[in-house]
Amino acid sequence: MDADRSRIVVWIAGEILPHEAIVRSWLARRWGHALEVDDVVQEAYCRLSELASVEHIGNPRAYFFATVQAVAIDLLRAAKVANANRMTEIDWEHVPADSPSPERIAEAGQELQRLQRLLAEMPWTCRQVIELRRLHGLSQAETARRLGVSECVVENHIARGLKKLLKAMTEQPARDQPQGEPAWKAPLQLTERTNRRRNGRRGWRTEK
Amino acid sequence: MESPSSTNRADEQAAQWAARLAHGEMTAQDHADLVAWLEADRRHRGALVRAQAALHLMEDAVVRGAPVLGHSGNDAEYGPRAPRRFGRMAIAAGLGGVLAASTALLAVFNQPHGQTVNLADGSIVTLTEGGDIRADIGGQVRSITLLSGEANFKVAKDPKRPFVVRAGEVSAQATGTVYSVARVGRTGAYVRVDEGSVLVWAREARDQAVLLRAGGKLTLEPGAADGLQLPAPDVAQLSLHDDTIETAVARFNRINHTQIVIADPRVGQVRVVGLFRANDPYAFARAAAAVAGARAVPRGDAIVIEEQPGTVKKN
Repeated sequence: MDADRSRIVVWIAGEILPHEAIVRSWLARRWGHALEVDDVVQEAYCRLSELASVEHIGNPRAYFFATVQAVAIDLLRAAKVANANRMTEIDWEHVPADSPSPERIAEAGQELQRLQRLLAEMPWTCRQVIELRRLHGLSQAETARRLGVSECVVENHIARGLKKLLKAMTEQPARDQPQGEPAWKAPLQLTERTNRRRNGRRGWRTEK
Repeated sequence: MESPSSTNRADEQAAQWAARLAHGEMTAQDHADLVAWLEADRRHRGALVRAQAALHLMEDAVVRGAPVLGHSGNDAEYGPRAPRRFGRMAIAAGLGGVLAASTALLAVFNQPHGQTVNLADGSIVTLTEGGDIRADIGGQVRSITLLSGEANFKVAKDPKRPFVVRAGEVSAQATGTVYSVARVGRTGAYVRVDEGSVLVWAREARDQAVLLRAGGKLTLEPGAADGLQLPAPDVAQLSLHDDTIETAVARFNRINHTQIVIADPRVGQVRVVGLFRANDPYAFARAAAAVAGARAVPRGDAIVIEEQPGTVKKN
């Protein structure tokens, strides 16, 4: 059971996390007005963690998008948003394609680079703990004595570095938007007032 | 709909749990609390698996020695609140990379001439100066005994099986590096690191080990006096990264005969950053006192950090 779980964690780390930024910005553009992006993302991770196996998933990025899509539909239905069905039919067209086009490959490279950059900013104390624990095989108690701190400080060094990384993954810098997409998001009030889809397609009306 | 602040809290709680599960101590109460937290909301379960995956990436980056990228542009492009400190660190790490590369080049030209032994795990040992080893490559640990002379080890990377060379009463441990060990006297040893980092300690005092990096040299002769012999001052440095003075003093006091005493408890909580010679507690005490607005006074065998006379206490 534990081995299965850690296999899923490793798979998510390598195949899903790098795409989170692009999924988030896609979610925010499509459904940011109706749903909390974080809610969708967390529920999607929960569903991924419940997978019995991941070997059958050939394109994890497309699978991630499809999972997020399914979560968004469920959440919209649960919230009884009017016209949820019609909207989701339209939005299906925007799910990024499975085929690896040159732009997608470039995009995936950018995603990895962004993650590498965030990892390179890891706090020194956190890096030190991981080095001693994982590279030199010291126990937690040995690590604490080596650094001259209590064992709970060792845990907190890791927690602090992890919080910083998670926060940075959530806050997307505007320059990381893929080309051709708006780097800004229209203010919520504005879109509500005009009651119009932001991409200029034929609009739908929300019952207020 | 939940407010964003509650989501942030879920992420922070998830990070704390992930850190405790991997690097902390889970009490029975913790287990119960974690189950309750996960049961409370499906999103908590998603947040936890996301945090665990991110922690895996962090560990992977450190273990594989992920490149530390220099800051070419302004800090803003790496996030609005990136502390300045990281910029300096990245530059320092970049220099380290240059140094490591040049030592790797040297190693090629200074290839030790001698008998080569291929170990079962893929590591290569070159024996010089009458070197003789006994190797025990186990599933948990790769244990090498240097019986005499000197040997150079090109260690095959395997983080799960530490590679430990015992020479006399000195141990030198690595996971995937290049380093040399030579016997010194009856119980001592000399360790030189060409690539990566090696943990060196005497007898069972692994918690007092010195971490040697590429270019570092260290001779330990635990037989001569009791306790840890101090390595050369240019090697034995204590690096402090935002540690409290109290913590730092504990580290200095463990390895030095001259003890530092903090007379003013306020000083103990002040944080310091810097690289200090491990065998010069007085220099550290003076620096720490200066940072904390106190003074360091030698008293017999001890150095006392105390309040500046005649100054108003800061809050």
